[in-house]
Amino acid sequence: MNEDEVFYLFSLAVASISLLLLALILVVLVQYTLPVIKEMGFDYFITSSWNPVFGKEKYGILPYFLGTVLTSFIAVLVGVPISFGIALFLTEYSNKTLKKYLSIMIDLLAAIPSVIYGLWGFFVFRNFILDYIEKPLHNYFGKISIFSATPTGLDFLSGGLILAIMIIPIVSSVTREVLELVPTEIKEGIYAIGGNRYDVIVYGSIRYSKNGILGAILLGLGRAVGETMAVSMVIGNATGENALPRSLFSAGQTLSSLIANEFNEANPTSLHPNALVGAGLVLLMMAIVVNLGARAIVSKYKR
Amino acid sequence: MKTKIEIRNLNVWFNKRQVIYDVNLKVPEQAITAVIGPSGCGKSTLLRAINRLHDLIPEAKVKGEVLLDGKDIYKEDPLVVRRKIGMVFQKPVPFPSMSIFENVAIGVKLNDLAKKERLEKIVERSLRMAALWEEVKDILESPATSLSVGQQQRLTIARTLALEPEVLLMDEPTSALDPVSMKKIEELIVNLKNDYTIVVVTHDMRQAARISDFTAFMYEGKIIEFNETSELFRNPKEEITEKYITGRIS
Ligand SMILES: Nc1ncnc2c1ncn2[C@@H]1O[C@H](COP(=O)(O)OP(=O)(O)OP(=O)(O)O)[C@@H](O)[C@H]1O
Ligand SMILES: [Mg+2]
Repeated sequence: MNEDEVFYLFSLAVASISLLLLALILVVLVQYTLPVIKEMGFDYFITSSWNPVFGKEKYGILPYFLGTVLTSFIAVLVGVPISFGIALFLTEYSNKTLKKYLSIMIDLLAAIPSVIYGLWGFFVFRNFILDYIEKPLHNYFGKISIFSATPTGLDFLSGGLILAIMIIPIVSSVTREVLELVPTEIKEGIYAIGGNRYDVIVYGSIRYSKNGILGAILLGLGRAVGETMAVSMVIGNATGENALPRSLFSAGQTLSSLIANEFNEANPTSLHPNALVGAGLVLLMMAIVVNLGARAIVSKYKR
Repeated sequence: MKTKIEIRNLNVWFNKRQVIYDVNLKVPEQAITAVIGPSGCGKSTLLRAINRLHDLIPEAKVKGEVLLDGKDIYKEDPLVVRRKIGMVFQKPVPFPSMSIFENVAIGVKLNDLAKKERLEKIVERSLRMAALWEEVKDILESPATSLSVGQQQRLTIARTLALEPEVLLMDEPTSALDPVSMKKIEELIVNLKNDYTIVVVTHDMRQAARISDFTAFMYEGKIIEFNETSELFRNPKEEITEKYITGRIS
């Protein structure tokens, strides 16, 4: 065996181990989830009652699935335009020094542990949201159902907005990278036909990097879907019917915050742990789908 | 012959490093002027100064005057200047996710120069002038990236012509192309000189001799010699010019 073959076998082994690990995790999750599905049937996925009390057990994860979808959606809706603005500013408008320091600062945002975001969200950010976003919206548009619940600052909107901030580093830095790959020839080509900077961005940079940008958004979405700690600290942690997202201002729960909040107190002889693992399984599926999508798009883009 | 562009005392710096020194040049109207010289002597820099592309590079500084029909382009709106003075680059890069049609039409659209109905005529006319129409008339909606590199270069010429510029600047327009495409573009350039004032930067002295009416020889940021092409190649006045055209420096 020569060096090449050894190295090949070694990499193959390592690669197989990670695949194996994923498969193993999936098998275990499915195994643990089966009992609760046997008990609840398909209702487990499409109903909302949640009662871990022995003898009255009922588990439906619909509200948490929807909560995950809603908060992630808010995160993308708010976080992506901001990230995009940052990336455009850094690549197209700022000078080299500014760019260097701003990029470092934004990348540092990614290094902040999520529990710190949670603390800040709980003690500071939610009051800000409550006073300057939720109360005005509720007062003026309270008749519209999404603004109807009495705001508390611990709700879907807060959860989504915290996530929005948390996805900014990844989305903006990947977007920045793809924007930097736009060939000078394209930009100068647009200037040379009398275009201005706006034209260069719209017809050159964005069009050229649209797949990469889409990939960046999906990476951000992947982060938002899986994020646990910070969300669980500001989302209000409702369960059962109450956790259904009826209003942006109602307390809710995501799949991950549900698991983080309840696994500790789940009675091992009940189906409660199984129901939580099932939530994890659904979460993992969502994360895999989003991440595979993102990767497929980004890799196709890089070619 | 009438002068279309007059360059007066042009100096260009990148980050304090001077690369163009006191260039003076009168570019005649409706003729092809070639700019030749060794690599790094400042040919592209000079050319880019003529349609204010240096404005976009923060580290570039330009001093001097570039007169188009007697008016200094550095005192006018750069967007209007670039429309009147078109630029074709060395490497043809079509605009992303745009069809062949859109690639030609985009400049006209950006500048609001024509209504939709006229756009089709402009695109056809430009593609015809760029000798590309026959090859693409049935695939106008295909992505421009599906064309060969030689076709793409003619496409970038068409997209420049669509704006009806007065001057065409070309920076080594054939150096990325195969011989057949090169020949097509050379013919095209010669045909265009009836309507345009053309400045071509080229590495290839034989190309300069084949297509140009006038030639400027640049060396280390200065214009050493400017003359009718046949004269410059037959009787170079400066020793350095002679050395360059006889291949003793490169
Ligand atoms: N954007 C820039 N920043 C800094 N220096 C530059 C820049 N563009 C060109 N230069 C420098 O200016 C000098 C002239 O370059 P230019 O591209 O004009 O030469 P050229 O004659 O076109 O060469 P070539 O035949 O290789 O294309 C070179 O030394 C080059 O390194
Ligand atoms: Mg050059």
